[in-house]
Amino acid sequence: MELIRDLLTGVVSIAKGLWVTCTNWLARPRVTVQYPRQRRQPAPRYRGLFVLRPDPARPGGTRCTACGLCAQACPSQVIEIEPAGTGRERHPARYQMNLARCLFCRMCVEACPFEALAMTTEYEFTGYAREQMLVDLAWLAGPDRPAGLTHKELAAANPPAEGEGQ
Amino acid sequence: MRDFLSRFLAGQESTLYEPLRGWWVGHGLPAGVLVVAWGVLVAAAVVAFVLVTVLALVWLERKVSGDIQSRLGPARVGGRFGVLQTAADALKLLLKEDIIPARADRALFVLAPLVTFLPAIMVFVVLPFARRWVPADLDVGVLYVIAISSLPALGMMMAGWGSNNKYALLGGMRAVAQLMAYEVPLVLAVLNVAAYTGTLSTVGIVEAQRTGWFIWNPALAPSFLIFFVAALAEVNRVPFDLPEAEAELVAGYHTEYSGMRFALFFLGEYTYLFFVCAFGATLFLGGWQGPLLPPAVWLVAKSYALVLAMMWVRWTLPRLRIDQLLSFGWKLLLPLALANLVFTAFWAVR
Repeated sequence: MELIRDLLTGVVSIAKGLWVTCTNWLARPRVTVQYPRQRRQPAPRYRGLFVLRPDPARPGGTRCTACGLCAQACPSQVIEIEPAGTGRERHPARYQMNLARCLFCRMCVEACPFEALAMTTEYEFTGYAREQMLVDLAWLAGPDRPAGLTHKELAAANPPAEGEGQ
Repeated sequence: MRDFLSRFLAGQESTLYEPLRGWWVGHGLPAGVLVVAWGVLVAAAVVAFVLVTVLALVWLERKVSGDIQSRLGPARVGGRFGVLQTAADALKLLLKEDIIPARADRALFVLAPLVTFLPAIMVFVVLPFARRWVPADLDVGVLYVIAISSLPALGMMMAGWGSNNKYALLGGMRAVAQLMAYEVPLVLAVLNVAAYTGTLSTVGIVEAQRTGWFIWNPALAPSFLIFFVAALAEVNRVPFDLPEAEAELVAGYHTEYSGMRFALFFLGEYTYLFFVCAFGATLFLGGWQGPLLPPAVWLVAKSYALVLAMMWVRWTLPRLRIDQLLSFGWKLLLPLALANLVFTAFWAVR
């Protein structure tokens, strides 16, 4: 009796499994993205590479005031800043990020009070040497970099759900 | 010529052999030479067919597994369906370094792939693609298949022992333990057909199905199920792929093999897969018989249907434990096969 029940449940469960694979086989849902040929479009809040926003008031300059809050917020000591100028003229003379150490947590973007630092959805960043993982001011504020999203823009686009912290 | 061609495709004309023999002997040439040359020609044709089939099967397996797992499978080499993927892989294997472990038993290690691969080709001797399209219509064809088809397990054991590697040895031991568990029910299922038809010739068995395929025969349908399950174990496919269980044994008996020697194991595995399905089609699905299309096409189509069923099972079920396999083979399949045979012998045989 026990044996027959085992047999029946076995047969039924195998049939169920075969049904699942059969329907999948015929329906052919494809989840593969053939990477170099096809690319996924990441969500706007994707934590990709960084960009320093240009300042319309300062041609050629960025909105960064070299206050150093981003470097303070960073858990991995990615950011090194050397300030130059004083008062309203204060700006970074050197702004270097070591992306080899970066864990893309976005704390630096959240810390920036001037909405100078933003994160884009770019996810391709490779190099043959550790030195190539360093990005400087010229790269971060380069002319053909996408705008990305600052922390405030992101918060506006994705308001926290009811009952969620701040 | 046209008439000859249509009769040839219909499997009526054995081949070009008889006219060729007449011409050959008519010119006073020794008949023995022609027999040997003809044998070589047929063997070459069979081997060519097998190699192409294996390339197709490996490609099919990868495509089917991709479909079932929501992936694409090969999609680059040779067009967007990757039809040349296996050819490229085979080429790559040919170029790989041939490694023999320093502590391996050289003789066993070198012989094992051949012992596994050759039987898989040898069994094609009795596989009838049409009435006269069979390399040799042996009186004891079925017995011959059963005798030869247990040899690959010997090759696996040789590979496992010869590799001097514990995983390989475990794989080889499992292959032999498994052989015991499934070979007996498999033979009984095949014997059932032989008892029903009263012949051991594969051609005779197909001809006995002229009035109806044996899969629809109540006395023989259970045998087909037993045959199918035991055949899965025979070709070491999931859920019975214990000899090469990746998760436990790396790659089982062929862990230490590389390059062409590994390719031979692979080739043997898929050759044998096709043969077992073709044999099943011959025994239970009416072999080459079918309307309209040439007989050989029917046999290949039926074999591929069985191959697809085996692939379907492979990508659905998890692997059994060795004790589960043994108790399944001995405690369930064997009594079922015996009961089926007794039923056939006492009530169904005319």
